[in-house]
Amino acid sequence: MSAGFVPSLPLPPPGGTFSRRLLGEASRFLAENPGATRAFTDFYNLFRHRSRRLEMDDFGWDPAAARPWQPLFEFLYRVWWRVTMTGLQNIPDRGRALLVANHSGVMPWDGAMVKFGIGHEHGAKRQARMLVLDMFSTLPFLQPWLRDLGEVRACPENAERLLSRDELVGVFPEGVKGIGKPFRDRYRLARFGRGGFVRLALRTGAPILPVSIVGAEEIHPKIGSLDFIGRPLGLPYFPLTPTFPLLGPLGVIPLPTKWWIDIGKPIPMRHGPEVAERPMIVNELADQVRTTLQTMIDSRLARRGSIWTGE
Amino acid sequence: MEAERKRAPRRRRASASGTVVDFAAARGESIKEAVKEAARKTRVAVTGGAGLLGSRFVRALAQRGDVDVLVLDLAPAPDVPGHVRHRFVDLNLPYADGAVLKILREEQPDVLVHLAALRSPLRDSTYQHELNSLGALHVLAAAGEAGVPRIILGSTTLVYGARGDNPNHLTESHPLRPDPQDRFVRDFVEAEQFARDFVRRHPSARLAILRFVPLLAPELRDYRSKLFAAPFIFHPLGYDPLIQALHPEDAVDALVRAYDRPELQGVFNVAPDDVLPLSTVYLLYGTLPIPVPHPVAYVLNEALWLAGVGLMPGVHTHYFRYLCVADNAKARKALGWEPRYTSLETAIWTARARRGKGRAIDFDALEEAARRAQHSLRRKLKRTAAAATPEAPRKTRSEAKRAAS
Repeated sequence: MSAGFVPSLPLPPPGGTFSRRLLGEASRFLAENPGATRAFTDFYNLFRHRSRRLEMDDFGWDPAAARPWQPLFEFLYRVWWRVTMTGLQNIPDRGRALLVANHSGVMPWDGAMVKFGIGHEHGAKRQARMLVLDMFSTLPFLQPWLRDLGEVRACPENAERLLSRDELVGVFPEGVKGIGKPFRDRYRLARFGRGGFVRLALRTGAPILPVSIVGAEEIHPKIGSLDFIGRPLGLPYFPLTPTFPLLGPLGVIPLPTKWWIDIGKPIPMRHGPEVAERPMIVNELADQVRTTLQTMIDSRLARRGSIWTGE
Repeated sequence: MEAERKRAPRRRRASASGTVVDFAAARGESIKEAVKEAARKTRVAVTGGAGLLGSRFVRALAQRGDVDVLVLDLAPAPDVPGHVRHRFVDLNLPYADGAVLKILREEQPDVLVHLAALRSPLRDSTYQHELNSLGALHVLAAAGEAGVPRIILGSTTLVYGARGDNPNHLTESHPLRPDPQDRFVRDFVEAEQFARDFVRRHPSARLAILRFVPLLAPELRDYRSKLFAAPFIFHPLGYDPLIQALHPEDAVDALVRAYDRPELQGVFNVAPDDVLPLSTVYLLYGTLPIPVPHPVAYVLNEALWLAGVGLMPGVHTHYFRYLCVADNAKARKALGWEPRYTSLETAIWTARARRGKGRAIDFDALEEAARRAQHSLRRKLKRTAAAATPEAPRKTRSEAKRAAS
């Protein structure tokens, strides 16, 4: 400490997180070597990744990097959308399961809410791994962010790897057709892809849990599509909502509707993995799941009053 | 040749040149004994045996008594025991296949390991193409003509191509989709295509392709380690792909195990267990990533490349933007191989050796943290392996309850 520089940061106690230890070391180091090369770069990099830990799983999920975002999701879940979650007892405490949900709302907030709800309200605090559409998982900023949160790009290889190690996986079989559907088609399920999720469940023996999400369709009522802007940017759609792009960045704020997330009884796969190679049966099973989910949505809609308060 | 040697008796290197007979004569040993001794051993020819991976592989083989190793390269392998022989081969010559065939006819190797390839993009892309792609063609053609029964080909996992729609873990059955403009990677794909042609033409020969994740080691000077060690790098804004780094020891271990399995055929990814974000590598190396919008990053890298300053062509920026992570399950099963080092440990080891001084990062603490990370990852993988084995459909809680009542 003979140099003039004395770190103003109090040194963190030993045994803290990786980034805190690094910062502590960094301040001590700067105090000892004021003219060190690359120290600036180190500090810049450390600052950028101050909530980074070295322990992550093989999909890049970093719980330490995800933690600072939890207050945002908590606010959206409890205050903004006042989510009511039912049927949590249908989720097994351990072992693989496939959540199949309806997709809606232009921005994929529904996935975030399902994940947050299960992570905080389920007895075993299970971490659902939501499969993300390509369009979100390759966009700049969104890609590393979603990865930190533990989301995985939607493709059969990824899902099978997760399910085979007994994780809870969430899928939106409607895909882009679901999330970008016009407001007049709200709560009408689009085609369920090509039944990939059924094949997945058959191959891994995971039970399918239908998850109906009501309230998310109205957060961004998509009344039109400005494809001449979206196409050159590589987006599948560029939504026109009452607030976007009219209000500019403010239009990205979703409307505060009241949400219900209902988790249905598991639909066990009675067939063996060999049925995965029979498209007719796969399609029939997919349709069965779709019908179950549509019934769940319809029954919740019938009981719903106001969009905003639910009464 | 003998006369030449007598006229100019220069100091011998660690490894000698020539056939078994020349070699024995040069060392003053009995030629008969030497031939008998050579017949007892398995004969292995290693192209590119003087390279980073090749020389380590040659060293590992030479330590065992039962292998007669022949290095086919421009230069003899460094730091190898004296009984490792070297014969000059330049695969970049137009009729290299004839030269290789002559050597293979004389030596009659039981196994041919082809590792000769440039692991960094070269501005002289003709030379690169001649070596990486046509070099493999020459070697395979000569091996087919000479009737070599076993071939091991070293490739790279870059051949899968970094794409936005890649699954997180690429298995060997995944199609190879590098950017067609990326000539560096395309040459490796072509070499693999020649290997497939070879298998079709010579169904009795056994050919295994090992796709190595790009290595990282302090003594390695390929484009990736140079890029990481550079003071700054133009990075595509908003992207942070997961990458892998293979420890040379793990790569050599996989090669030796592949060599030990005479019936081995097919393609195998040699990859570490874990992944690490590119930003962590920058952090470890102390590289300043200058974020630029990704179209600009491609253009800037291409401009630097054309100006003779850059280390990779612009199109290779894909690998700094998208995922290209290989899955090692098949190699684990078929080779009985297990990576000893994680990508993180390899990166810390390399970064510490190359840029460890004058840094604000406590590498001791980092190594400790990396060891902990490896432990927790191992535990998770073990659980995965245990969970993946019983294939019977599991009962959910409500089902089990129903069954009980």
